[in-house]
Amino acid sequence: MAKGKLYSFILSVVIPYLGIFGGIYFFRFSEKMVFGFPILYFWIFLWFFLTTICLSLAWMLFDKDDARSAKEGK
Amino acid sequence: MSISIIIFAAIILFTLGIAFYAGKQSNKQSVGDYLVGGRSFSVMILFFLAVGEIYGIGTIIGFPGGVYAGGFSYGIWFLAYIVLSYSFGYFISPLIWRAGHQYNALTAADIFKEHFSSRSLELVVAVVLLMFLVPWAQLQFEGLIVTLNALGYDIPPYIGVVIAGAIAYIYISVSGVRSPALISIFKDIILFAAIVVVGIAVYQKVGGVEPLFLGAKAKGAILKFQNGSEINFAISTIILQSITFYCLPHLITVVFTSKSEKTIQKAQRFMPLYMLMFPFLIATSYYAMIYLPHLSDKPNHTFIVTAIDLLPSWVIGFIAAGAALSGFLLLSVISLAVAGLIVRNIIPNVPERSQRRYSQTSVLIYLVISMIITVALPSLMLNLISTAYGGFSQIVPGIFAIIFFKRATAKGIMAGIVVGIIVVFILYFGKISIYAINPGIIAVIFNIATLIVVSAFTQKEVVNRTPIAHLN
Repeated sequence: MAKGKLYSFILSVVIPYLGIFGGIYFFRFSEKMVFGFPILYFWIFLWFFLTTICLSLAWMLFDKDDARSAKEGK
Repeated sequence: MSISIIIFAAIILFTLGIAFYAGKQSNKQSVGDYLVGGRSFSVMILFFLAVGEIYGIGTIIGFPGGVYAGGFSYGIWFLAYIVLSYSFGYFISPLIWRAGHQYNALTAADIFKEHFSSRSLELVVAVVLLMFLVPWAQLQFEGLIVTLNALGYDIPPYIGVVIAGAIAYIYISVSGVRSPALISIFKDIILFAAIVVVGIAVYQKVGGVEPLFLGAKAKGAILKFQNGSEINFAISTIILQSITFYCLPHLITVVFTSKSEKTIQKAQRFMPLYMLMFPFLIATSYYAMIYLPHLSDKPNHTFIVTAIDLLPSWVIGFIAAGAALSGFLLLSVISLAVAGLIVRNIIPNVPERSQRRYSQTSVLIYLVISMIITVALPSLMLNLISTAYGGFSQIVPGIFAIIFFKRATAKGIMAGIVVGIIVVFILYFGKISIYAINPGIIAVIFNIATLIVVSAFTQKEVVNRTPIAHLN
């Protein structure tokens, strides 16, 4: 795997999985509320944004200008 | 209730108009145009088609009902698996597109056929996919019956089913996948708005987010995991379903409609934001726990009944139309995936120029059979639906092998799939629970082990296909 591909994979896949599973692990029995939501719901809602940020970063930094896009002529 | 029905009908008629408009744009001869839109869809169309497929009527009807009946852990794994599907999809679906492009594939089974030049592997994959795809149509029919009943029309199920089947058939008969794609845009806007409106109505009525959850807690709702088994099931289900997601046969069809790999990645970036409807959708589950305890024998009515409880009739018309359109759209794309598998992979040697006509007929036959089964034997398919993700996931090791592993053989993949399916059925019907881990994951482990061992013993057959990820 080329370096860019590896970094893209870490950003777009590894980080969101670790984020979600880490949250489930840490907050599994917690009854705290955040903005009125049970904390684990809130944590997953937060990842709706964070995942989009991760994917956008992976796109901007590693995927937008890789060899294949040059081939597609865009 | 009459205003709601008028609005409902007007919206459905309008989408039929969109279908005919889409029909004018399509290439009438080509099966590739019919099944995957000639691989021409742009970022925006792809975005709406994909999110449209993901949020079928099962989400709108099923998710609030599932949380109402199944509680906190259901809500967590459902939300987490979808958001991680997008994350994993960003990585895997461009590679699936590349395989489709490389082999000029229109169905999931086409990739297997071309990569290994193996007719028997193609058949095994197609049969497994069909076995689990067929019952998904039934889910859509049932969701529609729920919606129509909730509108106040206690029509017999067969009428609802015939209407749904007819509309889905009209959508795709004029232009294949192009009309569901266009209608998806319209439907997603209605549905997103409807869910947000219902959610806001709930939060206003109970006085905010915290009172809603505290109120539900006072009625006995539990807002955390209760034990290790729930956590094991949640985590294993999230992993299984998020990785399987873009390998579902009808999602592969959607991936194939894209213009390029880059188009998929671009569309993929914003899909998690579509999930912002869930904080509103989930409000209906907890509202129902507080105010609508009588729903416990039909939890699927949670969303619609909550909406009717809080909002005026004309708004209900929009909401019901959005829900029904989700069902029609998913039904039509599933029909296309089924037709593609039957015409290209099951029936031998249908010439390319006749495939579109054959597909049209297959869609009709498939819809009629599903309608009959839904009405006549409503419980027959339930077991297959419960095992569907476990079943579909047995295709995943094979797809990964095509993309990444040079040494996998057709026999290895076939043996893996057969063993995996057997294990799914044994665990499911034998009610065998291993630390509450999702049976699909356990079956996938058996599947991969079989794949590796059998491939090692059948290395002679290797035709040295380059793994898709290595193509440039």
